Amino acid sequence: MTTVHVENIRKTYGDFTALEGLTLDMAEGEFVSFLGPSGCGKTTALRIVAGFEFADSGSVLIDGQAVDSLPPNRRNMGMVFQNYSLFPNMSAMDNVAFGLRVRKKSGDQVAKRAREMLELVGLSGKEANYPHQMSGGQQQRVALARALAIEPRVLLLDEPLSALDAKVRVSLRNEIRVIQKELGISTIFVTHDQEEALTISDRVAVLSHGKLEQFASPEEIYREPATPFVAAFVGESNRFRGTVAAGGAVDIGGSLIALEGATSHPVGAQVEVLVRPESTALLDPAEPGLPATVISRQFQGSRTRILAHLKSEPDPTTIVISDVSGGRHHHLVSGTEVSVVIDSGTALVTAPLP
Amino acid sequence: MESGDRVKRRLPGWIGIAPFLIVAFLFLIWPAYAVVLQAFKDADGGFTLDNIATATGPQYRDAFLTSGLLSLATALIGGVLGTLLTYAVSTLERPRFLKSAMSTFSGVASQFGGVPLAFAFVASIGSAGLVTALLAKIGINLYGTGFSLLSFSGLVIVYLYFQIPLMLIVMTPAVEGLRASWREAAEGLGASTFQYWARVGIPLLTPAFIGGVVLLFANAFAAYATAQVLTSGSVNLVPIQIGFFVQGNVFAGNSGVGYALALGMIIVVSLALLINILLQRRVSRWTS
Amino acid sequence: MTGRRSAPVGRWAIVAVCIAFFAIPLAALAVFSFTSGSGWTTAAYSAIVRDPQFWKSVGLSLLLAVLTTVLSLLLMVPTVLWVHLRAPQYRGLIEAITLLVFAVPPITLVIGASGLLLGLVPKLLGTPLILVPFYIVLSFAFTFRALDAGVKSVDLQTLVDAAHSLGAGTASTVLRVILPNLRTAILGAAFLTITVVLGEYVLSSLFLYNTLPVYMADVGTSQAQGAAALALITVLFTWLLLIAVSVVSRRLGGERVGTMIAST
Repeated sequence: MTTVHVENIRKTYGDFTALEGLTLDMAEGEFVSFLGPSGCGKTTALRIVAGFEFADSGSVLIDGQAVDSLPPNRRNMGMVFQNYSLFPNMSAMDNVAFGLRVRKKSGDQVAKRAREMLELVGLSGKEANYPHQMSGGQQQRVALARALAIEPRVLLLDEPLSALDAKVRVSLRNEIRVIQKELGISTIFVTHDQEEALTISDRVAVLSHGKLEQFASPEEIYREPATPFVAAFVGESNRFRGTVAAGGAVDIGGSLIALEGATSHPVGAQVEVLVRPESTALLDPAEPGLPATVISRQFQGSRTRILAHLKSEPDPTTIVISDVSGGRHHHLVSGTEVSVVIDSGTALVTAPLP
Repeated sequence: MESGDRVKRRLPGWIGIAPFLIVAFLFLIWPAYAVVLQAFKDADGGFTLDNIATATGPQYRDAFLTSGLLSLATALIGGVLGTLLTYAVSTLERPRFLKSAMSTFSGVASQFGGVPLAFAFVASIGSAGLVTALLAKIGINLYGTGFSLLSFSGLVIVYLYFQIPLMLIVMTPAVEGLRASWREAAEGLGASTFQYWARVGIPLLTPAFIGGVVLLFANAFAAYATAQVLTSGSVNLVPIQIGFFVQGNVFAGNSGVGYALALGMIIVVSLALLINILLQRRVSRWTS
Repeated sequence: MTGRRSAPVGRWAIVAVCIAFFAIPLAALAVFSFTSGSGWTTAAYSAIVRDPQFWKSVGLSLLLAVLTTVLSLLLMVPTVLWVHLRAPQYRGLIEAITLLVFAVPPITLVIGASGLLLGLVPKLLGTPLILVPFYIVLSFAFTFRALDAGVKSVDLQTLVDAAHSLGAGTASTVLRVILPNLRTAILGAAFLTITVVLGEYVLSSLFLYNTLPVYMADVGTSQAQGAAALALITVLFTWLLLIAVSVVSRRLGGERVGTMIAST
């Protein structure tokens, strides 16, 4: 059981700042995802923890000890790469055994441990296969077994599922989580897929442009986004622009909507209101909300996308609502007058997004 | 267009490649076949194994040995130096233009041969060459040591001029195919630089390396022009001997031996190319 | 980018040594050709230019080069197109034949052919033009590869289908769609063929024709400076052509055209 502490990491490449002021604390045996769009710095952060990149300033502490001066081959971390990093000249067995052989373990120990690991990832019987004889999913399992074989203090995964088919991705990510829980090994998982991150992590670190936007549990990230970026990047949000009015309300296109979040902004400020589909409803025009006329409707399973003409906007807007309210959308045909109702407590009121 | 289409559909597939096949047959396959055929014919046209016997006999054994040694030496030296050069060029990040400049140069230099190459070396390390003169100025008597450009060792040096670039061309895809992630994975698992090279890097490069060396061997074995121009036949090589037969420099009635020699050369080169192809398949399987 | 901090001295040394090895003979050629006993002079060059044999051999070599290139392209372009569009099942056969060219070194081709030709049509050996078909064979490998790479890179079948669907006839399609898209490949193949023919020694010397390399070898036996001058000119010219090939083939992407040339 290992703790990982990242303290104020800064990394630049020439003019480009990849990471700025990254600080976070991981508990023992915790599964943390680094989530963000391409270029946000998540992979850079991982590679600094692994030792393949050097931070310009800041420190990485494992179990309270700084490891910055240690080269990657002395940090005892297991790493799984995005693009199959299995040694093509070795069988699955030899790949998994590699780290053990390098540590000069005895032949028996090596064989036993390697077999154990392959069994753990569900590949018993495939020991003699070579990478080019295996599917992508199988290769990544071998890569995982190989990383775990050396009993690393920390497990690092750099977008290990991104190159796999959708179905394999889903099943493999669950398997990874199960194995991780069983072994209780502290893990950092880098991904740009928010569904992945939210599904399997204990906590998620959302990064954007080198900065840590929020580090919290998946529920918190989704329901209480700390910054506009998190609100927009994670899940879907309906967005409206307005001006803050007195008494905890926002004036959106002439309609006064009561929003708890409005109180933290000065009256008259231009703001953007972000609200989840689950907290948006299209109700009878008598209800307090934004008046609109439905133009068309697109059913998408658990979500429905309504193209509507808000009275306050010249162009049509797409409003996304979820089926939480139980299929009461059949009446929303073209021409229906509705009121767009926003749940006051869960809407995020922030400065206008770019 | 429709009538043209219909006509096309009635034409069998082989019609379109017929001209190519005819040219290939008349000027490649038939002469090659003639070599095989004539190697087994005696002066009266009857079947005989005498030519083969003579060609592999004591008279020409020296030629095969020298050719073999020359090819082996330049293949191994060129192979090692070429691989080292490839690794150096591929991994050096500055100057940026080095990699593409080297690649272009190699494409050009591997083709450099025959007459101009011979003269270039005569001008450098020939008895009246520039380098020879410069060395003399600093007190080293090159030709005094028994070295001569017009000898076996001279040829080795000259051949290297096109062997090294050829190796670079062959090894570049293999060296660049060494994914950074393999090195990082090895390091993450605790391997030192030496262990990475010993267990992963070198094993992965070996098939390409052997394939390259074999290709270089075939390349040197088949070379005629450079050796001929430089040594005028004073170094006993198989292609030179074959050349004598074409020029009529041997006793009449013995021409079958020339064909036998040529047959021997074709066999050696074909074997080498076959090995190279098989090894290349292995390389592409691993780097795909 | 990794944190490797060691200065690459060893690697730089290797590169430097190799560059020196490659550069010195060329420099020597240049210096040699411009010096005689008493300092710098262009006497060697003027002697060559005044030699009528020089112009004859250049003329012959250029003629052979142009003929070979044109005929080779006339033969190979339709073949490659046909194989690609109509008869892909024969691709393996054609590739095998181009590989065969490497297995039959020019010197063995000469002995096989000379016996054949002398036996059958003695008169044919009277004209240097007999070299052309053999040169075409020598060029098979890289011409096919270059054209093949070019065809692959433009998804020819789709272009042809699009042209047909818009009403273009065969001739139109070939002229307006196919050939322009193969321009770089054709140029690459052409440059390579010219280079190979200009430098070809084995066949021309043994069939006793006075091409440029043969002339050069001849000069080399008597005038060292003249030979060096000739060699330098040839080198510069051919290397310029080959650099053009490299630039062209880089645009084609990936195909190492340089590997495909057998040394002569």
